[in-house]
Amino acid sequence: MTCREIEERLSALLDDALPAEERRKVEEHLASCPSCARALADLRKTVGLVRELGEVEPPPWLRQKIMTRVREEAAPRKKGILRALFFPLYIKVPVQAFAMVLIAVLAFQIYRTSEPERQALDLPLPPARVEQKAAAPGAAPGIPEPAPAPDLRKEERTMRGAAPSTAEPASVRPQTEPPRSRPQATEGKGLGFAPPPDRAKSAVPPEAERRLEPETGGAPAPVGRSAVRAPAAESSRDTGFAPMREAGKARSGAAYESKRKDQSESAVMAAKEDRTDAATMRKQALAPKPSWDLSLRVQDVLSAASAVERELRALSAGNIRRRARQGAVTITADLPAAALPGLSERLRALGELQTAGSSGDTRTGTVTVRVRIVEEEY
Amino acid sequence: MADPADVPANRPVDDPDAEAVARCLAGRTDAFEALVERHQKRMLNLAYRMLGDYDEACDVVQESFLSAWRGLPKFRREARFSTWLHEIVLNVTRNRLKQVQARSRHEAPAADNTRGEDGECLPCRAVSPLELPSERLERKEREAKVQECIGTLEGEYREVLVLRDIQGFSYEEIGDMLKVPGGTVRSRLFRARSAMKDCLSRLLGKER
Repeated sequence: MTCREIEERLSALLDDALPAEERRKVEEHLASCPSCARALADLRKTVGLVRELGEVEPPPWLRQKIMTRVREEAAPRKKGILRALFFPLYIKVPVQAFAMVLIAVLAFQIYRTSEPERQALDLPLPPARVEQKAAAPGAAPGIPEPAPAPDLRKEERTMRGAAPSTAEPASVRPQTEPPRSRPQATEGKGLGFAPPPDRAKSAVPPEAERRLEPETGGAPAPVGRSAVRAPAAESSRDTGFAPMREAGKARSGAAYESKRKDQSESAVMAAKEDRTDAATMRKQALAPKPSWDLSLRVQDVLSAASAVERELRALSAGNIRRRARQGAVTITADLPAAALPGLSERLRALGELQTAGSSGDTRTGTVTVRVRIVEEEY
Repeated sequence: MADPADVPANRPVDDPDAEAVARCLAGRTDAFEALVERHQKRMLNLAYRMLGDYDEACDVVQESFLSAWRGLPKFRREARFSTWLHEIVLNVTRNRLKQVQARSRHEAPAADNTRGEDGECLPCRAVSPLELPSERLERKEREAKVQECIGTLEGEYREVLVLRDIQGFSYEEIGDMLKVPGGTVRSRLFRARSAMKDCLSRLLGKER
């Protein structure tokens, strides 16, 4: 081994990091080579100087400064866990979707639960009952026939926008085909009672009416007496069926549909009886219908409304409709002019009655009576 | 000088910091504070001897501990926490050295702010009360020259010298930290010591 090779190993010799064989060779060489021995001594001194270097002390603020920054970073790490629960899209999107579905279901449920109450306000009188009574043959013999007011065509035009008088007659339709459109006014024999024009304009949206159209087969036209809004079409004479008109504000529903079928059947008979009146009614249909407005102040609006309806039915009023608006109930009905004095007499028994106004000739024919029932003010 | 705790041993089993590390991973900052308390002095001395600048060394230690806190979830316990921490300090120091060298290339050489007029390292005032003022002065001058010589070494030689002769690590541990074989550590150390010997002969002259 040369001196250079020995020198290269002196550093490792100092650290006792030489393999035993190498170490023995180096030590042998060092014993005989003063130059290499001096090199080892110098190296040992150098290493000694480095190892003797004093230690520096950390400043007292160092730990605090480190920990302040560590704690700053640790706080967001905890927040990050919370954020991780809500912010990744794979969690956030389903949560939001579920929330939306929940809100939709709740809204629907609330709508469903409150529906009966709203119906009670808007439509306290189920048309079914009225028509069943109306359909009963000979229900009120001797009571003057209510003059039909086949204002239907007017209403039809108003609501549909365009109803040519020469529209397809219902009679040409096959019997089995459900009439998809309401009987056209010109074909109507005027057996039903049309709502007064003002109401037709404002009260029922066309969609609501459309929903109420019969779906299977034409409904026979109920007639006269207290039949409610069941205009007969001319076609009813040929086929025995006419699309039944339900212009009321009744909400659609299965129960209602089934009831209506029953009404239709019973109305067939009535229609036959009163067929002869059709021509007369048609004549009157074009004349503007006189109206009579009454105002009734009562303590209990709802029960008074029912009582008024009862009285109207007793007087063979037709086309009885109830409308509730802002605490007041307005009942509209078509009544023979002869029955008007009787009506006012009966209504006086219910509360404070005032005549609000009238139009047209209320002495003859059929008069549209509007009774506005309001709560008595104290 | 060598810390007996740093003598190579069965690594994952006998890490005295294992428990504190586990608590740190559970988010306990107080456990990390204990680790800082335990290791800051060694880390500071490593950085200081590598950089020769006390303030820079303090910055490096701060940054290193912060990196350790951030990187703790990734710390695999194949090595001791202290070994891992040394690696971090060495990395941060290397980056700092590059910055310092780049700066010094563009700027005029500035006075070393860690030394007083006598070349004494400001933070190194903790001395033995038995030391005479003249002895103390002599020692400080010598230390300053040794530090100066360390500063003349290339980075890879400086690391090996500091890790072996100041930090007291074994060749194997140094090889692990620097990711180099033991033979490389041995040869680097030989060159570093030789350079130191030449430098100190020049600076200290006949004193030696």
